[in-house]
Amino acid sequence: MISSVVRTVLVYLAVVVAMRLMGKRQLGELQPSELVTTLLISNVASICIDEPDLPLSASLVPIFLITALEILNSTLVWFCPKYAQLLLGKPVTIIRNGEIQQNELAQLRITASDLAEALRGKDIFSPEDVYWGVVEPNGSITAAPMPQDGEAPPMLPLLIDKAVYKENLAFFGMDAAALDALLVRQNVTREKVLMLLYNGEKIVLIQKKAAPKGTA
Amino acid sequence: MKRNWYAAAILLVLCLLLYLAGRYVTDTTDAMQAGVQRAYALAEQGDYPAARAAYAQTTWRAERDSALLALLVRRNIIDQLNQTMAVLPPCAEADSLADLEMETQRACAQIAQVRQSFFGGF
Repeated sequence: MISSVVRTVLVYLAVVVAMRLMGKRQLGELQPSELVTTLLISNVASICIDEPDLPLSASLVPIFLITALEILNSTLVWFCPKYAQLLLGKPVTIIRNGEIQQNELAQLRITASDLAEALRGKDIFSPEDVYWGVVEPNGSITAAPMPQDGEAPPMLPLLIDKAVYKENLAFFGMDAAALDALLVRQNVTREKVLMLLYNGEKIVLIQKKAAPKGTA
Repeated sequence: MKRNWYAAAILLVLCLLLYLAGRYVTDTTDAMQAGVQRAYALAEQGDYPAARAAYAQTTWRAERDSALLALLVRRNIIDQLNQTMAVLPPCAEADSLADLEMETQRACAQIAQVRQSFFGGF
């Protein structure tokens, strides 16, 4: 009995330290790889509490190994946008200018009732009230409301960290060449852009800065 | 990128701990195996008091090392090994040499299981 109490306390402390080391990312809405990490840690942590026969190291070593791998993986995601896209996926547009993109819904296996439910959760009762609706890589649905009279339309991403949002380019009647021409006019290259947003009227361009040491 | 240094430090510490734990398991099990085999050799030569003393010393060492070994391998394997080791010294008699041989082999197999429990792959 005492051993299970001691084990529970040690495993609890190890999991708290591990989650703290992984940072705030792990506590918010989870990306697929972060969900896997969190599930694995919870399962591995319970092993040696459930089975007193197993050594404590059977839980502690995997917890800290998964923690280290998750930190290194998230750093790789930060450094390499292509790897990030492969691992996390991209947001998928499902409503464009009030029109549901039914092909995308079918590909994502999201039913119309799922979509209606998600929109109702955001106090939106008709897809026609949505200017741009996307399914984020973590599965949540984000919706920008249709602009009211005289209101500027919401900003849509065209380029984020080297990832080009082709469907948004197409929405504004642009292509990759037009994007590059726009960047040339702004005196930047794709590599130097952190975020490029556009709403048909206004451009928001945020350039990359060198990360100061010790800020991550 | 402080977290990357934490991750590298964790990996380094884990590697070091695994290496040290592996060395400990190897050294401990090798010493137990050698102790049991030396004691059995003494019994085969007919030196039963010396054999009993050698078995008792190995048993005492095995019990002493159990606490740390239980952090690294399954506890029931350690318990089984300790139970087998406990019956070895009384068996070191002229009229129970067959039992002694069987129990010694059992102890050797259990020592190998301890090693396997730590180093076993998939």
